[in-house]
Amino acid sequence: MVLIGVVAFLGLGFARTSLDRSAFDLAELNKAIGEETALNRQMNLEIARLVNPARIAPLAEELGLVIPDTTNQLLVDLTPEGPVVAGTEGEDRSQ
Amino acid sequence: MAAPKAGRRFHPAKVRVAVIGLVVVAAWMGMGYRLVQIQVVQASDLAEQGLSQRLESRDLAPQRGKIFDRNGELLAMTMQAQSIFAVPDQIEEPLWVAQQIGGLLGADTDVLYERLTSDRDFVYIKRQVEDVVANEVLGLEIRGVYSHPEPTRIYPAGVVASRVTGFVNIDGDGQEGLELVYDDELAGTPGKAEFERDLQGRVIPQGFSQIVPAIPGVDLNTTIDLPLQYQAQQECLLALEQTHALSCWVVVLEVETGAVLAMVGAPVFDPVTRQTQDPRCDDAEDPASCRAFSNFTVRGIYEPGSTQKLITVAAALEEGEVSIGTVIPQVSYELELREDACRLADDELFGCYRDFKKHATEDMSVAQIFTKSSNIGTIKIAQRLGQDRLIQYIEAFGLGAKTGIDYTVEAAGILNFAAGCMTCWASAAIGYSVAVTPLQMAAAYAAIGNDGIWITPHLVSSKTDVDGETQVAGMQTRRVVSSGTALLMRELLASVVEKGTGAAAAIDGYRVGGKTGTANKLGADGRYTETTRASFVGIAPIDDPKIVVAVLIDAPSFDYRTGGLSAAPVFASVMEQALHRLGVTPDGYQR
Repeated sequence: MVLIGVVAFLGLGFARTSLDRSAFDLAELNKAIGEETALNRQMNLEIARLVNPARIAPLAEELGLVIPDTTNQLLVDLTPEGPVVAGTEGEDRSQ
Repeated sequence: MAAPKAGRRFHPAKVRVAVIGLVVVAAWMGMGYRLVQIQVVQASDLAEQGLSQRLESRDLAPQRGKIFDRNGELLAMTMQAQSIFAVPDQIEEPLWVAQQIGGLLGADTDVLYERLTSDRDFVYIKRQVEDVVANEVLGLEIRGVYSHPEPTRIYPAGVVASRVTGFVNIDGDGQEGLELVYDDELAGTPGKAEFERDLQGRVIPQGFSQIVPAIPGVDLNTTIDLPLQYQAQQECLLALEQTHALSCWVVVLEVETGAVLAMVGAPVFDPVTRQTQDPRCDDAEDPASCRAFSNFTVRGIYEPGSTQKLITVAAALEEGEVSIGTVIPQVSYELELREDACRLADDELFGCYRDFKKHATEDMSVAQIFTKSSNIGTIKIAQRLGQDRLIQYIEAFGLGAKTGIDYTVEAAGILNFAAGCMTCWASAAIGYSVAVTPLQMAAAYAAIGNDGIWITPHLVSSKTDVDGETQVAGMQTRRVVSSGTALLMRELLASVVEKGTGAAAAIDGYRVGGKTGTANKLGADGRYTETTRASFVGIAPIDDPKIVVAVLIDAPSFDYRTGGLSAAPVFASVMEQALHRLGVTPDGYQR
C-alpha cells in the first residue's frame, strides 16, 4: 500500500514536471515561429524591393538594355499552306 | 477570638494557568475566526487579488494589411522596427551621448541635446528605426538609452506608387490615398493576452492564460500595374524636363472594367518623408510647396478645353441634330455671341470666341470640325443642341459629380451654368466654364470606348482577409450614348490622330484615337492668361478598345503649350506600354 502510494506520488511529480517542460518547449516553439515569421516578412520585403521597376530599370540601362524602338509582329496565314512571315514595323526612333 | 472564615480560595498559580488558558483559547478562536474569514468568507476575493498581482494583460496589436498591385507585387507592408528612447534623469553626459547617437542616427545633435537635458521623464530619440541601426545604438551601452519594438509602414515601391497607396502617420493611421480610404479594414482588430507571471516576470507555464488573438487587417489587391505605373511616371518626369511644366498627371483606365491601371503625377513624392522630390524644391522659399502630395488626377480641377468636344459632338449625334457628314455653314475664325464682344474685351468669358489658328471662313463637316478642333464649329453644333440637352449629356458623362472612385476627397468639378449667363453653354461646349478632374475625363472617354456605357473607375479589385479573398462589389454602370454613337465617336477620335491635331499620339501597330486639349489658365485677376494646361485623352485599339489614357501637363513652356505638342507624345509612350503590358494583339495599323 505504501509502495503504491510512493509510486503514485513520484508518478504525479514526474507528470507535472513533464507538463511544465512541455509548456516551456511550447513557449520556445512559439518564439521560434515568431522569429521565422518575422524573417519571412523581411524576405518578402527584400523581394519587393528587388523587383521594384525603379531599381531594375536603371540597372538595365547600365547594362545597355533599352525599350525596343520597333514593334515586331508575326503575321500568320491561317490557310493550310500559308507561310508564316516575320515582319518588323515602325521606325527606329533612336535615329 | 473568631476563627478565620473558611471559603474557596484560588491558588494564584491556578489562576495564572486559567488566564493563560483562556488567552490561548481566545487566541486560537481568534485565529480560527480569522482563518474562516480568510479561507471561507474572503476566499474568493483574496484569490482574485492574488491573481491580479500575478496577472499581466497585454494588448495584441493587429498586423496592418498589405497592399498589392494587380500582379501580387507588394506596394505597402508593415514591419517591426525599434523606437529608441531615453530617460533624461539617467543620462550622465548628455552632450557626449547626443554626439554619439546623433552620428549613428543621422539626427541633429543640438536637437538631441535639448531633448536629453529636458525635465521630462521620457523622451523619444528616434522612432521606428531599423533593427540593425537600433542595435548599433544600444551597443554603445549608454545608461538611460533604451528601445522598444514598434511597427513601421514600408513602401517597397517608394515614389512609384505613392500617389495610389498614400501614407500613414507615425502611429500607423492612414492619412492619404488607399491607406486612408481603407484605414478601418487595413488596421484590423486588436487582441488581448492575459497570463500569470512570476516575480521575475516569466510566464508561469501552468498558470492562468487567456488569449484573444488579434485579427490582422485586410490585404488590398489593387488594379495598379506596377511596371506600367513606373513607366508612366518616367514619361511624366521626362515631359516635365522637356516642357518645363509645373506638373504632369496621367491616368490609365481599363475600358471594360473601369480598373485604374496607373495613376501617376510628377513631381513625385516620397510616402515616408512626404517630401516632393523635385530639384526646384532645393531652392524653394516656401517648404510647404514641397509637401504637395495631393493627387491632382482625382482632386485637381481644370478647364478641359477641346477634349470636352467629345461630349458636345456625341450629344448632338445621339440626339440626331447632326451626322458626321452634316455640313455646318460659314465656320469663321471668330464668333461674337454678344455684340462687339471681340472688339471690347479680349476674353472668351464675355462672348468672344476664336479658333486656335486663324483661317478663312468656310463650310465644314462635323467630322472636319472635330478633327481640326474648331471652337466656332463646335459652338455652332452646340447651338443646335441647346443648353439643356448639353448639360444633360455633360452630367451623363460624369462631369460635375464625383466618379465614386475609392480614393479620398475626390473633387466633383464645376459646371458653371449660372442663371442669366448667356454664353456659358458655348464656353462649356468647347471645354471652358466647366472644370473637371483628369479621372472624370478618362472615365468619359472610357464610356465611348465601352460602347456608350460609363463605369465607375476603381483602384481595389479584391480584398483578402482571414476567411479568404472577396471581390469588391460590382461597379456602377450607366448608358450615356448608344453603341452606334460611340462607334462614330471612336472613328472621329481616330481621325484626330490620323489627320488632325493629335498626330503625335500615333503608335506603331495599333490604331489609336484621341483628342487634344489646350486651355488657357485663369490668372489671379480672373482673366485668362497665356499659360496653358495641355491635355490629351485617347483610346486604343480604336476598333476593339481596351485602354484609355488621359494626360494633363500643367503650364508647359510656350514651345509645348498645346496638347498635341506636349501631352500627345506622353500619351503615345504610356499607351504603347499599357497595350504591351496587357498583351493586346496589334491590329497591324501603320502610321
